[in-house]
Amino acid sequence: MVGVRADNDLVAAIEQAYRDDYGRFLRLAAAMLGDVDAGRDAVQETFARGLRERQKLRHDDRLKGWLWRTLVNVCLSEKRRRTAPVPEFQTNGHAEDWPEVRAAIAALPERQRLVLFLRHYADLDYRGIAEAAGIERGTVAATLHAAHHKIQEAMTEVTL
Amino acid sequence: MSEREITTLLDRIAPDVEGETGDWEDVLRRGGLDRHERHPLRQWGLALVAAAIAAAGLALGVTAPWQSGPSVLEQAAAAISAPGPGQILEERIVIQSHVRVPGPRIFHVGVWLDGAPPHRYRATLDRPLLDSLGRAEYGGMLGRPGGFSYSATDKALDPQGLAALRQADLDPAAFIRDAITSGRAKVEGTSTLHGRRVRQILLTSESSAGLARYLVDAKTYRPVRVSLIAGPLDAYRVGFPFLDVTFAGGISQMQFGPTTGPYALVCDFVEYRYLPRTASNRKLADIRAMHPHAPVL
Repeated sequence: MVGVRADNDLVAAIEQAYRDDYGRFLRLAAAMLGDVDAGRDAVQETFARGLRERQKLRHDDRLKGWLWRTLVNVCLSEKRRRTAPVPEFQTNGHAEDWPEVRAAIAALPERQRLVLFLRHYADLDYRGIAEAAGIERGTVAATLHAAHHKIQEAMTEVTL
Repeated sequence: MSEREITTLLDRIAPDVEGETGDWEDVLRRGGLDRHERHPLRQWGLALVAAAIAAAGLALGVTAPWQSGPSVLEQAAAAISAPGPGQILEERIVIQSHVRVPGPRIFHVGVWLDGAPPHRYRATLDRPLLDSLGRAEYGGMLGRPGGFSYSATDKALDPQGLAALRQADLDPAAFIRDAITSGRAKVEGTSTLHGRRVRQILLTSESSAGLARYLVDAKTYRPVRVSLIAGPLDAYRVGFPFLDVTFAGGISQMQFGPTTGPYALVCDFVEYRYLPRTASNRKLADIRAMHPHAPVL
């Protein structure tokens, strides 16, 4: 059912989403941008955009889906905007850990990497992934499977 | 490899954002919805508070010794700088070295400090250049020399000749307070870091060979970031946090830079908070309680 929400309710709903899921939004953004600082900015911009454009959301009962999709778009725009090469996958400071897996993730096609992050860092189901990534729901499983396969191959090389 | 195993693997290399809660006020500002603007009556209230603060600041100017211009905000900084007897201070810091040396340049430090006597403290330090030793811990009591180290590999407590530390050696907020009261600090104004309003406080050593910029939360004055450029001695004077601890037990293996310096470090405070002094939180500041079965060498 599509609901028409009052302005205050909308702001409250956006704030609630922020407080409930900030960590997941940040993990996704930091992974996409290869930089936690840039990830924080992307999350802030996403929710600020949600506030600025909330009138569009009055008739949209899929607020979180809109926020995830917007975060993905903000991150992709930021990556395109940067002139310097963006590290594909900067993490928690132990960059020497699992180099093969990192290399495998960095080598994934952008869509596979995005779907992988949406699944494992944003913890979205297939419907949510499709919505956030702007792809057909039916292609999510195959894309994810391909990404998993490449990581498995990398791990096999590690253990051989 | 199952999906669960891949999730576990990705978790291990995930961006470390645990414990972060964001800054909703910043979102409101960026989104054009400053809460204060939405409540005109509250604005009047804030104006009255601001006037009261300004008046109090003028009053303080008569007697306060602070070089950077006395203000109620500085007084507030001093007021929050010590954990109370019912609290445990918890700090988690990521230190990045910007001096080119072999090996890792990012280090993780954790500190717990008990606000009640005898003011036990414990610090955890990673030692990436000595992986075989694993994570190291040091612990003792403020104002008393000695203490213990604990290595995850040895699983034993080793008595150490740690210096008698002051609170300011472990707590940057206390260090800032001391620097302000002794006139070595200058408040530079406010700026934004990662969407967070921060106040900049500049410290220079007597020789001017060391310089540190402390960024503290503009409201709470809790540390957000310390950036430092200094040689080893000047690093002490501008308050490189935890220097005593990090060097006490051979932790110079962290190799922030050449032993003769200079250092160029950025210390980000991922966590700086006061925990209630429950039994389990008290243990965090007590190295012996954390390892009750470890033999003392």
